[in-house]
Amino acid sequence: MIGAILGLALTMPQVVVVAKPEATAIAISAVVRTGELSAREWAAAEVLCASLPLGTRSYTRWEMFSATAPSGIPIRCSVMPDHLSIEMGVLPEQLGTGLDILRDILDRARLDEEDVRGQLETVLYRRKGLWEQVLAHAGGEATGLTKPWIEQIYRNLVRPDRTVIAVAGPVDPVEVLAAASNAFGDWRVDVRVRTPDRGAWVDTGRNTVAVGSVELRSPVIPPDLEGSSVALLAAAALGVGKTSSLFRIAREEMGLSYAQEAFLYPDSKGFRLRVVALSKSVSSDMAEQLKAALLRDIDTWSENTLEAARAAVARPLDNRIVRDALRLRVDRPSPLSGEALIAAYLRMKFGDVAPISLSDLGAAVTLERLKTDARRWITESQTLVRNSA
Amino acid sequence: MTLTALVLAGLISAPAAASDDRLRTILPNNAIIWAERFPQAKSVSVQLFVATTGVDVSSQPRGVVHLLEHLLLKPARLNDAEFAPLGVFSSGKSYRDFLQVEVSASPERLDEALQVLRRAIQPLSASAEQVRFEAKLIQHEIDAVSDDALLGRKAWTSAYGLDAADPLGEPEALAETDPSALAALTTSLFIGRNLVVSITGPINVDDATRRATELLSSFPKGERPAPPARSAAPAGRWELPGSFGEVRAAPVGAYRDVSTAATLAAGLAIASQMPSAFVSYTPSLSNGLVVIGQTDRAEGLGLFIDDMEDATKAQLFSIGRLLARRWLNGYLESPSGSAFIRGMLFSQGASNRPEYLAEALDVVNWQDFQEALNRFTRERAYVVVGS
Repeated sequence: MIGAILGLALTMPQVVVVAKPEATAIAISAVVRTGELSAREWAAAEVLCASLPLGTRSYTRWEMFSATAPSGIPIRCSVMPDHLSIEMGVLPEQLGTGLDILRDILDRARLDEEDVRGQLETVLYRRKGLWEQVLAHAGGEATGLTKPWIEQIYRNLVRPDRTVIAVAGPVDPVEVLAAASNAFGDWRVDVRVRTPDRGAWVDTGRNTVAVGSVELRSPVIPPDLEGSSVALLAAAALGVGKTSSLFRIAREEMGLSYAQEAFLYPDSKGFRLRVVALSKSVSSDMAEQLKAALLRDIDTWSENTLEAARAAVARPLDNRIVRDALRLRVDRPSPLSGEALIAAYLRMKFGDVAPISLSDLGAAVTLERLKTDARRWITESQTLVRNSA
Repeated sequence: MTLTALVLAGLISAPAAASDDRLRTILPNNAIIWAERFPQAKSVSVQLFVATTGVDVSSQPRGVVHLLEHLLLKPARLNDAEFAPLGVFSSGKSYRDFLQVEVSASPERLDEALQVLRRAIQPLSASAEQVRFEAKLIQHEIDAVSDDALLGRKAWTSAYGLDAADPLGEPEALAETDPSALAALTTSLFIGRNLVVSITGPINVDDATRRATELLSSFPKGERPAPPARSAAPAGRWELPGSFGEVRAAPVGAYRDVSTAATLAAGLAIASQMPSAFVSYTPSLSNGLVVIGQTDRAEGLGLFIDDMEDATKAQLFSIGRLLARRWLNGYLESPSGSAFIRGMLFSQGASNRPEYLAEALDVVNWQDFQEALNRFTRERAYVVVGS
């Protein structure tokens, strides 16, 4: 992999290039730093996300779909606690078209009245999947959002100074820079503050599931590169793959769960380490037992544990056997889109010192540091028990 | 380039590897080895497929192959603790007609990846207690099955009966499985005709084939059975308590039939117009289903299909074959995906290739596509809705 980080003018989004000469398509990701969102702002951002692929002032929905479909990476927008991401792909000869469409999405979305109203309904009445419910930002859903609110969120959040764009594929970094300059060179900050309208925050009771979960959630881990590297490896050692602590304890010893994972999850102030096991029948006692067992297990971690964690984190993204130690979406992006998304996110989170892939993180982490920090994060973790319906 | 030309450009994308970088070998015992070189890949994918259709498991609880998969892949049995620090990871999954084990590793760890497979197919010795424990885990697995899987399984049950639809099984019955019967089942399954190994990545195909031959050549010979016959029941509408969403499933024949290719293209085209719709299809020689669904809302998909105007149908035709080709290339362009789809097809017979599906897609015409769209209408599809 060849990486290049290119700085642009102040009103330009930052651009990161991940050269993948063997790829047959180009993945383009935009990551927009949002900061902490209230529950209603989160809901508004979800409506915005659902509305963005529906058309811009220059492109119809069908035109955007037709341009991206041949790449196998259709336009997709996601909201996470510290960012909003837009992923899309185009064929290699369509880099300029792809960036132009992205610019339109980021700055000239149509946000048609009828479309927004439809997406408001969709977000309100949508049923989330199992893991999305576990990961969810909040347990309720917003009512009373209106189109002006959505427009305000759009203008306040989606700005060039908050945005990092990553391009992954068979591309020349210099050509990417030129194309990005062409597409984004005249993007200006345009903040129009409006008074929020009033709405309710309710739990509709729609998102009840047949399976519960126990979770150990760490305090906020500051977003410095060194500490985050340790946390990423800790997530892998605790809950990625069949040799992880969580698999051995929650599944193989306790018989508590078939599906269990640990991962680093974005937070507006850094990250949180989240250790989750799904089970039909869960209790606080079970969570405490799990916590105690994990702490005992951390004491037994060896250099092999560290190496297995490094291998899990550094694996190519087309290896789908083990889960991602850094969770940037509820589901998994395609490998190429994942490369672009990670590169853009790391740049947004860590600035100029950011690597462009996870495989560059964690080389200097020692076993003692890993054990010490993992023990502290699990000890101080909050226990969350979510019962099935 | 115009948007239309863009669409067409996607239809002519090249295969991932040149033909001299691929080698299929049929061993004297009828086991099959596929080796394919992906020079730029950063890892190798080694996958084992065990065809289950020719083995009579009627005296065993439903899902016994799934139980077997759990026991075969226990971390201690595979020695995962030794292999994970080397970057060698494994997983397994049970499908309707085969059991799959995948190992991924860095290119220099091909031998270790094959060692994992060797351990997976060694004779099984499990206790009754271990069987009960795994049955409990399978109950947890079933508890966490997502709505799309629940609705899809109901569509399969409705179309082809319970046996064809349920690889997961019934945990209570599985808990009582006699361990000696499981050991006997491995003997029945692990014969040459049922075994396929596919190896993909930055490999030397001759060397990889030689190593896989060492793994597979000692198993007894057997003749590959005919694919399972499945007769589709009449279409209809079913409600599934405890689930949410809706699916429309269209019955299809063998994967290389033009009508199957058209139905896959139609399904993907329809799903592309719904923000969160999914499509599932497992290429097979036997009758199967192309399933479209959505689980974040309870309605909308069916209305879109049943009220579709001609102009919309024409738009979908312009994109349907492209999406299906893209779906297929999504497998063929990655080592893991190629190993999977080729191994899965070889487990049904040595002459099966994904390229036949691509060829069928190439000849799908407007009439084929319209007919395929009609297979998803409420009159002709298996309709399942959550309640």
